Amino acid sequence: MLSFQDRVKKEILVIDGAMGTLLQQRGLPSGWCPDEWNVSHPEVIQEVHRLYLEAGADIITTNTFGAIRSKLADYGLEDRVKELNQAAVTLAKEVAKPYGALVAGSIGPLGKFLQPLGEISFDEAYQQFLEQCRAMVEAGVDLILFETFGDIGEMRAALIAAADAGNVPVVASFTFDESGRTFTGTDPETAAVVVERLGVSAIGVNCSVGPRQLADVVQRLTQSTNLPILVSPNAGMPEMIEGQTVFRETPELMADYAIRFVEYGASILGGCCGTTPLHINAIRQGVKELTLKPRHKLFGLRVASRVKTATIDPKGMPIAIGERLNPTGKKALQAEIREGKTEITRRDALAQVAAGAAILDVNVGVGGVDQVTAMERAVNAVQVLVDAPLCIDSTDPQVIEQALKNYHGKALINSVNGEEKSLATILPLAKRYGAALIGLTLDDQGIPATAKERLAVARKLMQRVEELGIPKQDLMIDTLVLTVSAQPEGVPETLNAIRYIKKDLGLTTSLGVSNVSFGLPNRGLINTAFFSMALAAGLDAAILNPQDQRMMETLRAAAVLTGRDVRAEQYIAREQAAQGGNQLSAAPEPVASTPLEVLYQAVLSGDKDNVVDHINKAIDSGLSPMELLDKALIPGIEEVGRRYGAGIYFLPQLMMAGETMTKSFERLKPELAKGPSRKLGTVILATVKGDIHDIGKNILSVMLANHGFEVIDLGKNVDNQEILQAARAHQADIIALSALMTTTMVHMPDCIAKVKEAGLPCKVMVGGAAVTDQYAREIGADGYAFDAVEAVGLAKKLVC
Amino acid sequence: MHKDIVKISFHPGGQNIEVSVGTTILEAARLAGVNMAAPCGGTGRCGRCLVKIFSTQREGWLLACKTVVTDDLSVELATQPPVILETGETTAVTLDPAIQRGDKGELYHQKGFPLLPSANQGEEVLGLAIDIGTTTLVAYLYNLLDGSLLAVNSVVNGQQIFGADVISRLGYALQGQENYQKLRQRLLDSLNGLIERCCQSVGITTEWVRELVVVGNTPIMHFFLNLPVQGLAVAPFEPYQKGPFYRTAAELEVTTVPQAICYVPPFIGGFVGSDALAAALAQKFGREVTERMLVDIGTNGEILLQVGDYLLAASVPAGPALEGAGIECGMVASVGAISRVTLDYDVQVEVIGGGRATGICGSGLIDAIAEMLRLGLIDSSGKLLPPSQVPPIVSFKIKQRLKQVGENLRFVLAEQVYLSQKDIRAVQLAKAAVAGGIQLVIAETSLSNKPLSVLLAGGFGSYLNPSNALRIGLLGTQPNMNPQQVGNAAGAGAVLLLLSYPSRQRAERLCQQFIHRELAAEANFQTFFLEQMAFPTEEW
Repeated sequence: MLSFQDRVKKEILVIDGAMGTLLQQRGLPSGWCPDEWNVSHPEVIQEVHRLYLEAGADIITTNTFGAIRSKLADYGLEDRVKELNQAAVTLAKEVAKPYGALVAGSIGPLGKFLQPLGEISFDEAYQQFLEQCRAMVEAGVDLILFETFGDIGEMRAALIAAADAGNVPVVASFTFDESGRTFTGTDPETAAVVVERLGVSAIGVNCSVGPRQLADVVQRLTQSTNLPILVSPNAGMPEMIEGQTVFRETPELMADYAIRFVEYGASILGGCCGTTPLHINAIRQGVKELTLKPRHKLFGLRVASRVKTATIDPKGMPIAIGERLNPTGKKALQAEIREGKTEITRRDALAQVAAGAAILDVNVGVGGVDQVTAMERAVNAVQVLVDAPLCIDSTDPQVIEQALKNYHGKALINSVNGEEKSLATILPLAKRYGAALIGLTLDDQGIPATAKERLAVARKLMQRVEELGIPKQDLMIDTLVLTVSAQPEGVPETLNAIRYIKKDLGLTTSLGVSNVSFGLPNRGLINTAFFSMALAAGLDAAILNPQDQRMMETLRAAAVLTGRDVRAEQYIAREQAAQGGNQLSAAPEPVASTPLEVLYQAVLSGDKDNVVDHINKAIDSGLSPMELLDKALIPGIEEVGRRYGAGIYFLPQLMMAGETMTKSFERLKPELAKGPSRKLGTVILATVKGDIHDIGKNILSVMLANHGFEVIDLGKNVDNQEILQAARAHQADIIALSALMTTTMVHMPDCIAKVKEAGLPCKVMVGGAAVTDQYAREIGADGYAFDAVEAVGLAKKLVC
Repeated sequence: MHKDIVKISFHPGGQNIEVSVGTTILEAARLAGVNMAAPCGGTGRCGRCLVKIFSTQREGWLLACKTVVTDDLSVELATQPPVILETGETTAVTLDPAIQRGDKGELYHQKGFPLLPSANQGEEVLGLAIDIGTTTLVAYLYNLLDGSLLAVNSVVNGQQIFGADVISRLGYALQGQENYQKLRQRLLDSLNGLIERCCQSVGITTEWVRELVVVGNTPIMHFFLNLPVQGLAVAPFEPYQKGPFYRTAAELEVTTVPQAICYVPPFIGGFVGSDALAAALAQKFGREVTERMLVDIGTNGEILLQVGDYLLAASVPAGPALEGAGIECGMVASVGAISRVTLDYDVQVEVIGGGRATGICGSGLIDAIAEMLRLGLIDSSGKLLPPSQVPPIVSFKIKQRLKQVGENLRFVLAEQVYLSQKDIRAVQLAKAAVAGGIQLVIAETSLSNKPLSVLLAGGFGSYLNPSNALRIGLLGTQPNMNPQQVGNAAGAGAVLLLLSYPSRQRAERLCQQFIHRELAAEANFQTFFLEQMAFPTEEW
């Protein structure tokens, strides 16, 4: 019989569908441990397996999804891990044999999260997976299938355990939601990058959503790895009908999608929740005639955080590795590491990523500190904060191992070198935890003087890496920078070594650039010049301070000049973004097409500088000023008011929109004057006597005018007598008073009394920080408004 | 049975008082001398005076300021005493106090004031430097002969029951002379109690206290000096008298030390008091030439700036949000307040007193918002984002804390404590006032991008995390700012004024040199205020 490894390289394989629902139909009570039936109801399990085999499955999965210690413990069965798993494998093998089918040992997640997201340690998770894998391997399982994993950290622990359990092929299958990410945020490419180096034979997608929702995920996955891909969707999105979860996609539709997935490059097709032997049979029929689509993509060196991949491609953009998380020569950071804090670490991490670092180097080398603990703390602090992958910087294998265990991604190790001790301790760590490496061109004889000798060390590193089964593209070579003031002859050797290593070995290269200028004044100048020379020689990555603007500018410009930033796309995009300045509205507005839409958007975005142009164009296109007002400007300012009320916009946006409206009215004044008056009423506006706080009142003034009121703004610190005179002179409909201080709002009742006394027909509304609704009622005001938007609504109500 | 007079008892203090039906619980508390927080001055806005009442007819939680008594009541207070800042950076000074012992052992005052003869043999000569804050009073007891510090003590400002901020208290005082005197008496009671406690703590008689130096904000010093406050309540906010003031403690009714001389340094202006002058003195304004800015953030923000010969004292209306008022779960920095917030894979908080979190105070607010900005839970316009718009790196535990309640989104910090969109807006208003003020005054100078040391003084400035203050742009967006926390700088300045008579003369000259401005009254303040409303997009 051919092994999984042999078959998966040659043919499209069909894997079975749901087990749980079929067991329930056969009497498994809800709340009963399904895995226990491997022992108590073996005939039922075998019946289900047989149904799928009859339907055409090449692989059946054991009934062991929850047969792991912590989940069995829910049923008090934690001591039966080995028994239940081995029973399941034996049952499946018996049934599969006559069909020549393979048995996959199913292992689900623990149902708990690993540190730092959850409480379980890496080691604890590892032990549980190891126990389950060992039981299956001993029983002769053909492959292990980790399925429905939503957390990449847990998948890492599972895969490392599986590798230790024995020499059995492993498939890592994740579950993605509709956003195209796993529960803890991993995208398909990142999932592939992280597990590829952990010894998997195939990568999969199963459960959570139906085939329609998975199309994009499958496509992205096929473009992110050359490994075989498994796809087992649910039979549609789960729907709740009469308290039951149902899945409604038909076998035919599942088959159609299976065919499409094969076209994308997938090669193992099956189903998850809600699928039946009918679905599997339809898939079998659908893919029967199809052949494997070969995929041979080159990916360069890829490292990943939990949610993002960074690629160092020998022909792509060179990247910056941020160097600031390193306490050497930094007193504050040293102190923080000693005290067990991470405040500076976190801020520096954020600042470096914002400045453009693609990867962050993490070093906790402080004397007298437990660096294993310090490294774990630093890695955990940074990996939940920024999405840039990490470069673990230490010479101590224990420190590196602790970091790699806890890192929920694929890290870069900084560094290994040609010394035998380094090779013997660091390379196995990279292999075991699936990390990439920076290799220094030095060995037991020290740093070789010439470029040729450094090439030889690099070649040795490459051979040793490949001997362990690590692909060579996961090794990046640092050709070592010497201090130019001490060894001027060293610079050409470093640069030539870059050229040789790239050309002869096809490896990527990196440098710690700033060493070059040590001991010289104005180091930044030397660093920048040397950096551009190294980039010209083909440098792919540099460990540097990304907040040093000159270095980052050199990197971006050199990428254009060396043809690595194709058509200068990234350079142009960045420069344009820098020119764009501060955009007030956070979310990009939809692209406007008609003149009315353009105008509407101008109000929403507060584009006061261009609104007059937009109006002129709209009028040229034949629209009337009234139309502009009624169909674009007024709806615009009303939407602004709505957004303000909903907390989406705040005062600056309100003010900008208001000023845009003011500009619009000024422009339209001559035209509108010819038409009938649209004035809603006249408002006398003032901040009361003794009060000089008028920002809120000023905003209201603009807003009222924009909504069609004539506003007589008397300013601040205004005497009640003056307010009354103005009300009389302008035949005001409303007097609006504002006060910020409790000591000045006392002028409000006096004003109201004076209005009544004088028998003026106008209403009085009040507001301002000191004023409350209750106070307004107490003093007999006609209304109170909390803010300018509310006040406009109130004014409208008062005049009609 | 209907009664006109009802009995109210307050717990846990055990005070009893009889009041007429129709009195509010807050008024009853004031009459009974019970410290009850009413930051909004009893207008029902802040909700801080929530108390639990028990009577034969009703039981439950109610606002003391808005609840009228109708029957005998037992009132349980939930509030805890605030955390008080006592320490301030002190500066070395040559001992040369105003009161000296002459050749024949007799005491004299350098200013020539007559002193009462010694009460007994072996008298020590003591002095008290007192910083009267809006919320707390701190006293430093010194031996004036050898300059040794004998005791530091503090007490809550009893005026608090008339409002947490000065404006509320002014409003109350302006309602009549009787109210004014009540406020003054509360202050004197606190002060006398403090002096007595201070001396008792080291077993020294109050009779040996020969001089007091008292600093504080302008309105509170007006109460202390028994000066009219009308001018301080309305524009242009002028003090009745500018000072400096020498009075006998007896005439000021500081009854614990009637023999003492009392010195109150001059006011810089209506909103920038003698405490700010003392802080400026302690931080070497006018003495060292390097650029410096001292910022003290309270309901009113004070900004002192020195650039070359230019000395500016400005004030801005920050409002009480940074003190926890007007924030849905806001509270003063007392037991139960979240004072520190860190967000990593989940929310980590520090709670004052270590127990269950019941609210959040100013430093916690700044931390929370800074951290939410870092994780991308708030965009730079201040908008709180729904879980679907939060960056994928943010852990699901944090995302699950973004809860939609009706129309409003909130971020849950602890079981009972959250931040709402409205709260974030309130903090934006407060920080825009402070930062706008700072940017306005800096814009007028030649500072541009030069490094500027920013001295954070006062209680709030001492408890906030300076990096987080920078992250939210509380200190404006000037590059190269180097914030340092200087503790109770006003207290340190008061000590200088007590121990060194030449310092008083220097302070009085310094006061003349300061240009005083109330920035809210200036036309271009609005532009800076609106500009500073947004949060910085990146880490400094």
